[in-house]
Amino acid sequence: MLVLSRKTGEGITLDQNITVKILSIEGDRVRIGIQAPPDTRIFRNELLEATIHANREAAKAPILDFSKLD
Amino acid sequence: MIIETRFGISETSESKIITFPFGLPGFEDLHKFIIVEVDETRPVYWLQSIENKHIALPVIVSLAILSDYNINIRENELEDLQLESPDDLLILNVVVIPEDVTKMTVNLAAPVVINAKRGIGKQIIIDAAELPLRYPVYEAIRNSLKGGEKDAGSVSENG
Repeated sequence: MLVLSRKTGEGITLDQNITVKILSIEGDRVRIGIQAPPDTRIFRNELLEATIHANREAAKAPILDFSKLD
Repeated sequence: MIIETRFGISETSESKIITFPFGLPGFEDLHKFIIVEVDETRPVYWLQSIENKHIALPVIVSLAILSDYNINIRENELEDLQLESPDDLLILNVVVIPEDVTKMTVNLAAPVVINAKRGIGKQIIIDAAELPLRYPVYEAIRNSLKGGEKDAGSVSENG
């Protein structure tokens, strides 16, 4: 893992056309701007973690009978 | 071919096998699944692993049950599926069914997209405010069983 330190206003470039810019820092919250081609997959990490958990939970589902529910 | 599933022994064919090159989040080492239809659980289907008979994820076709489920799938994701025609695209969403089934939720943020013709699938993550990870879906499913009140399952408030 590459670890860097940036100040507000500074940026990082990934590959040739992805740039990450530190827009502002307020307390422990960093506002980040990302410019990338539309095809780039960008998502907050929590979503992947949460999907992993949801999938594992889903696999524990009871086999219910919807015809018996109301 | 005969396979063992959560539902017992089942008969299927090679052509029904869906390959997930990247596995699924949480099940990265499982790459071969089939879709099992169980009459009692309709409209919930099951994404059954062929490699581990204990693993079957309940899924629904959100597009059929919820009005207003709009997702934008990136071209590169479709290329991973070797998709040639939109007709071949099947979109499923994983549901979490707790003890209290009325609290079941569907993961709208991470649809499972499948090229039904070629049998290739992957679960993709879309980060968008209008696509919650645990969207309550019991009412919409009940309504769809009663015969098509699609409006009851509207995702967005704007209709």
